[in-house]
Amino acid sequence: MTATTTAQVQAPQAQAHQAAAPWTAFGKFALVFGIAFIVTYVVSDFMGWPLFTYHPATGRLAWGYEAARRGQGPAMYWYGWTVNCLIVGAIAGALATMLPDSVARRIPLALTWILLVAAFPLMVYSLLPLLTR
Amino acid sequence: MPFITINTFWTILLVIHGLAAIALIGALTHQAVAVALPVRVPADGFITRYRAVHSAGYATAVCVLWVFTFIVGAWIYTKYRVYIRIPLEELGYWKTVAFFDLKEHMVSLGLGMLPIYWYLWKNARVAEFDSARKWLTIVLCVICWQVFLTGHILNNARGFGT
Repeated sequence: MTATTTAQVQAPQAQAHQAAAPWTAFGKFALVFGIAFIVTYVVSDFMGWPLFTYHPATGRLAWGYEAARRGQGPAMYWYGWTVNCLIVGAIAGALATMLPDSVARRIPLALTWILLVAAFPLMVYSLLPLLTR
Repeated sequence: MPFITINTFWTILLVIHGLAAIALIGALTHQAVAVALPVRVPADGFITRYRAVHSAGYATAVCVLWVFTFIVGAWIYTKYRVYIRIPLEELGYWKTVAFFDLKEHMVSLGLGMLPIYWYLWKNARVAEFDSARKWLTIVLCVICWQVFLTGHILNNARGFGT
């Protein structure tokens, strides 16, 4: 698409800009899901709280945290952390759909990207034992 | 007799993962550039046309590609942990291992923000969402580049063909 045709397409959209946000149930769900997901991931990582541990060499799954067993290869916690976040995020998001619009509107939208940026140094910090080895 | 060998299967999966990642990084970069440096007046030239894309059209593709790349990557991750990471640790490539872990962290965190990212783009006419939509897109794009380059470097250290 050329710049000219794109500008023609975008011009009516700019005129149709809406000031007020339509906070649908999905919008409330998505916003709170994202926030809860990131907070849960950081907490799960720092506290060592996976929902389950996967042992890839043997294909074994165990509930919660389980250290690697001698002679049975490494243990993986990342899957357990991620599923933790999906569950907590889904529950928090589902509860958020019941929020009135006036309350949902008070949640700063900037949290969507600020939390991601803030999580980066925290994740680096959690990896310092490897980075400084 | 199997149709393909186990090594070929995982190699194909790694190539699919890489190709999906390239498509994702292309779509997200296009969108991020368009939203960070929007074209106000029609003009010619490659850069201007690159910036002048209809950004909202990329949102669904970005979400689908992120989830698809994530799932394939999560599948390959089991083999990485046993056959790639252990030799890297034995060779003392601790920083490489750490950066790969960082990649896994960031790709998960980005996954969590996909629903609100999609919602913000599906309501692209809402002025109230403009700033969050712009910065979330840029941050996801930066994460995507970090993740892509880390995967690429790790593949050079010990990946395809090793």
